[in-house]
Amino acid sequence: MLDFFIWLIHSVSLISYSFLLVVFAFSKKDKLVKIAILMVALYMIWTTASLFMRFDLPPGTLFWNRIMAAAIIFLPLIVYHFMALFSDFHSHLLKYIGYIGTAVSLILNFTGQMFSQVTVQMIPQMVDGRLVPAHYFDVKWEWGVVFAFMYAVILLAIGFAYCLKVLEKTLKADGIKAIIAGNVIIVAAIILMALPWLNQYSLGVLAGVINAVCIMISIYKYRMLEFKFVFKKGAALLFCMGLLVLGYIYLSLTLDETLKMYVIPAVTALSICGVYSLYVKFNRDIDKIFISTEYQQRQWLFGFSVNLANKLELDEITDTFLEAVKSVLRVSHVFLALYDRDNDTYTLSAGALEVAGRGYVFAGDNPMATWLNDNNTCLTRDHIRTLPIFKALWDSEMECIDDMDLELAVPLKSRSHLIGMLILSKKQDGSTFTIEDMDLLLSLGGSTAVALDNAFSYERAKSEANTDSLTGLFNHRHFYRELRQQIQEVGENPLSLVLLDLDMFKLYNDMYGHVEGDKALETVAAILKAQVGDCGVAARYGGEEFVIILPFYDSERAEMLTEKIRQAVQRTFHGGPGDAHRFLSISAGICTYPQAAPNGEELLQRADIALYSAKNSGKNTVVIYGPNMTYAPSMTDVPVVPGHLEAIGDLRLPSALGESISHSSAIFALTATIETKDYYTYGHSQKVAEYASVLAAGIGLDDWHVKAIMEAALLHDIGKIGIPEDILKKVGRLTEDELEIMRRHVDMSVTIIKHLPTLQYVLPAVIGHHENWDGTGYPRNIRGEEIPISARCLAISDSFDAMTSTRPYRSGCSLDHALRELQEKSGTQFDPHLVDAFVELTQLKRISLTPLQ
Amino acid sequence: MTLNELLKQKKYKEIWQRYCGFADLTLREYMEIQRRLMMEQIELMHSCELGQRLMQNKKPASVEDFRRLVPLTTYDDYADILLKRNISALPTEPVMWIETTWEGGITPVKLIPYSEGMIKVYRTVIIAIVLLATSKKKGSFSLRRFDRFLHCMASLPYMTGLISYVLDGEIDVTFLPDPKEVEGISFHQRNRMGLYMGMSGGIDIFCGMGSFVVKASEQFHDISSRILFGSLFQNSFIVNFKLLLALIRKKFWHQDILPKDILDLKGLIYAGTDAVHLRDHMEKCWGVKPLEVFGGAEPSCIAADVWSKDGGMVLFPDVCFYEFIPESERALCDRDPHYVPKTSLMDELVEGDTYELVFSNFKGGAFLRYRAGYVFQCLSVKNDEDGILFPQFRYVNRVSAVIDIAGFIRITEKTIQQAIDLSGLPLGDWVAVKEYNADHKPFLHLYIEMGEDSLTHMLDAETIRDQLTLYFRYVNLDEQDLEALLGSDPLVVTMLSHGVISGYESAKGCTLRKIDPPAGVISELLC
Repeated sequence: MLDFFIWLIHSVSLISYSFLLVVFAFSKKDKLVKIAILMVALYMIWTTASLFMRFDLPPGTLFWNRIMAAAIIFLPLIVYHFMALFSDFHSHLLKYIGYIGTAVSLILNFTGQMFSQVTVQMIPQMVDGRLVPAHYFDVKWEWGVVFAFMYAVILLAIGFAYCLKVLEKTLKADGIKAIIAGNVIIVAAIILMALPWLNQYSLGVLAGVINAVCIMISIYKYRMLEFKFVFKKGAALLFCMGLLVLGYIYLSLTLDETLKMYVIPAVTALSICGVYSLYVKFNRDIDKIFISTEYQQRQWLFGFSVNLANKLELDEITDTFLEAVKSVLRVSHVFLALYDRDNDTYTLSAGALEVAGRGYVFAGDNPMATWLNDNNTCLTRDHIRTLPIFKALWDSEMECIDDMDLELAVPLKSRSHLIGMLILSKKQDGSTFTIEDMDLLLSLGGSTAVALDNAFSYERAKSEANTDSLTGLFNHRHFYRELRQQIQEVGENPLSLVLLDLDMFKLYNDMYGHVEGDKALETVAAILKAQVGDCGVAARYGGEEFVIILPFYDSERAEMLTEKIRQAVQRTFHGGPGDAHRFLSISAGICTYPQAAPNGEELLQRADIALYSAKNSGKNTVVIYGPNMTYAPSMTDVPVVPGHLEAIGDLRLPSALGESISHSSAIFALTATIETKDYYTYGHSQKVAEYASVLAAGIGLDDWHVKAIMEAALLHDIGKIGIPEDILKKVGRLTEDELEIMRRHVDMSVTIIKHLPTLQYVLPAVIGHHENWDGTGYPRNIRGEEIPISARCLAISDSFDAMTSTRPYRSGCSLDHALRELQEKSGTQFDPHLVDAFVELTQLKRISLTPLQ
Repeated sequence: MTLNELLKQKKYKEIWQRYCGFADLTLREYMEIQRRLMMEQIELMHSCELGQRLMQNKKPASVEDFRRLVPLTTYDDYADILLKRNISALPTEPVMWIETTWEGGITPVKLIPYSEGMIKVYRTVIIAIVLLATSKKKGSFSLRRFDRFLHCMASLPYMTGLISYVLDGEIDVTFLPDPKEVEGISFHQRNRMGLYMGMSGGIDIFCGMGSFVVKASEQFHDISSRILFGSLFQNSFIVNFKLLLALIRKKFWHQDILPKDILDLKGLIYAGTDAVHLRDHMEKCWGVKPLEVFGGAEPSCIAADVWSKDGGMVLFPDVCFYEFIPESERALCDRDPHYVPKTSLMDELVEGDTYELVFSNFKGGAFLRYRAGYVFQCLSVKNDEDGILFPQFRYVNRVSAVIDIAGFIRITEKTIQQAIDLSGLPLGDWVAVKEYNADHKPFLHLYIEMGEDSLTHMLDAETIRDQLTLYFRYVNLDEQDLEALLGSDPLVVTMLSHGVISGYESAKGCTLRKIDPPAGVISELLC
């Protein structure tokens, strides 16, 4: 029984120490671990020597006793260092006593001064009613008592210092209590070993086993290494080593002395080979036991990443992905910051709002994104704490990182672009992320990034299908869908529909070109977005028409909002230095469901009627649909003339020449006004009208356009009625300031004509007749064919007449001279083709100097 | 995790990387940190009255915009807000108001607000400095918990007083003496007390104004024996043993007792004008290479040597946004006070050139494009030996309107004229220059003429010096203190013949600058 007890103690002890040794060997080495390895090694030597001593193995009991004693002698010093690292307790005195004491004790030990004699005696014991021999050690203690005393003093001093530190609250008691307890037990055991009647029970070895357990508890509490991981490996090794030890013990007990010498080494060698294979298999199995749940989850995650590729909805991907990562890695929180290309920012998913009570946005150039993009690996909190480039983080960004409790950030890259960042907080169990975790996340991040990129593309395509590419508003198709949906949603509540149309937009396009026209549409769209916001849906209905759906808006509120829009457009387009620069306005018609229209179709149609009413009411106004309203064609709603329009590119004429003629009275009334102020200008306009109309006809323009150019010529200087007479009639060269005033006549002409809707078709010619072919003219500095052809005709005719007319202070020049001048300025001031045509027409005598009528 | 915890866990590599890792930055990375933090500051300034005033109610979209928009400033531009401690006009609420003297200002001191963010950065900078001071090569340092720290710099509300404040709770160092226990004690008494404590119990890190460090070295021989013998039984065994060896050397080889004979200093940190000439002397006395640091109340601590301690100082990238006015531009400013000088950035500097520093605080500080008059020489744009890839500097001086003696006394034209007026001496025109004696110690050299109406009773230079010394005290220049500190006479007077200065001016057709006139002028005046 006693033998069995001794074997058991030694076996358990050796297995425990082996396990600890494996745990330490697999851990990241630091000073603490190295000392722990040394300490455990000493305990192993102690146990092994004790076992060998009991076997009385060669070279003899005394030898093994001294080896055992040497291990015990070393222990206080090692325990001191171990404790010092744990508790930051340092005592030079204790250390020096320890070194000197150890050295002296070793000398005493190996010179036989400590234990002079050790013999194994077999004493009979009664077991199950029969006598069996049992081991008994007769040890002659010499200086050993002194050593035991020293051992006790050192350990008690450490214990005392520890208690003092705990009391001073400079040391936390956790984690070290068990070590102290273990060592106290060891001291007690060594002292008790001196008692002969207890010696036979291997109390020291038993204390060592308890101590080993204490160390394991301390390691676990102090978390000085990755315990779980090592435990897995350690368990496998422990199992195999246990088998070896038990086998060894069995053989030792059953074989006789002679056989032991041959059989044990051979069996040991064979066992090592066999057990190694067993270790490999067992290690694999134990891996499965420990990580089975995790393993399955990871398998599922890999499957999930494959499935991701088939998903296209952004929200679906992000939600599923985040939930999966959160549950598999058991993190407290997980966030996704996706790149917003429009704003160059990374915007955090809605989860951030739940955690920190506010949304977060990282700038596109924030160091986290830069680092993740450059390094393609996981970013840890330690990186942020230590790498100098993170000094560039803003305080607000750092706060955000703290709020999220960021522990790890994973790059989501697709086609070399960082499209997002996966941000994970701490794990729920407080453990750190392992390399395997990071590899898994990187792999998942890669596949998710592709899925997200696809989803982005899909979202963009979807958005583009519903969006007007020029204005960014919803398009016609989406509007109908939205209207149906909104009508369903509001039920019996009001919903107003506003149709808006840009006034004189065709003219605007003609005057400034399509590029400027597009810009104007964009500007109006921006105004609509800003004014409507989330209260409704704004869409481009087509061309220069826009539509707004305003759910829960009655007609009065809708009118107020529309009026604001109208005013904003007016401010924007009438704010320039002159009317020649901007003159856009909007007209709007409003109809409200269900009060004024029973369904969507009627609503749209009646809003359209209201819009037409607004157009007929002088434009730049807002009209609410009323029951008596019907379609009535607008006076200014002039259809486009087919035929030469494309060639001319700048004119919109009344549909019938007669209609134009009906305007003649207005034209002559206006020209008569200028006559009262400056007779020369009046006559000049008439002559220019004649030259220009001949030129227009000469280059092949049809009658309507010839007539239009002629009318434009009559009105081209109408703005001069606003020029002071002293400047208008000044004899001699005008000063720079006077010239500046004189140039304003173009603006004034436009202002006057703009208020005569029926004459707006002459505006392109009027506004452009001082533009030069090379872009050096005024007021818009346009060049070449950007200048309307009517204006180019007018420019040549205007200059020709100015040169050939006689003024009070100079005579008019000759025809030849005037033509030479025109030719000299051909390609710079004038359209070269028109100059050639003009010269040809003079040669054909179709243009001749006309005396004033 | 605090430095204390990191030291406890012996994570030395992490500590180095966290605090001194900036030394590995490339110039591009350095500039990126500067740019980003400046944009953060613009954002903060945009939301406050002071910022809107300086940025003319606009919000610069880039650093380039900012430099175009914001004029160069001096304290006068902030005085109305800062002197009244008008917190509501500032970008962030200050957690502390730091003071510094205002030479020639409307009040004796300037008030400077320090935000929480600035204090945080200051903490990392101070730790970096201590680590660098105790390092001999890149990546290794000998700072440990419970090290003894002799701090001989001005206490709060001066900027250097923040050192103990920011280290409190971050690392268990023992300050000599404990700042909390010596509140109210004068600067000199505190220094003396610290030095005495250090001598008996040991000093690991010594931080002081350069002039004080030199003085302490020189006095060590006299006071060490007395102190150490007085506390023989309180001293550690090692200190007593070293003392014995030093006494034997003194007795038999007549060698002076130097601090390094008794103390094993880990790091020596010094600051202040003029001490750079005394580096070798400090090293000889204390046995370690001293680490120079540079700071001011407005920018806080902005520069320090690195581990080699001889390549020049680096400017910390996260404290301020730095711009540099080249010497040629400064010259144009001298000629035309309304001239707006162009500034260069860190990546535009030329090796060997001298620049005046212009800085903008980060982290909610108050100053934008501020000129404090600090002049630096760019020693190198990169240092292959130490692996530093951005410029390193030597602090040259303050701009010439101020004479700075040993970092303690700043003298302006106004202070000198006040002292002369108060003395009532019949003195005439004068110029003042900072010069150095044979021991590399600085002093103020006043070249002065007798007044026209006093030609009948000439005074000698010594009498004038004594009189002026007396009256300098009334204008905030405690010369005695400085004399005690430097161990030399900080004021020297040389008489000039009457009319020499005006004669020079009429001959050259210019007005001579009274403070630090151009080199060569003095010799011409003396001829």
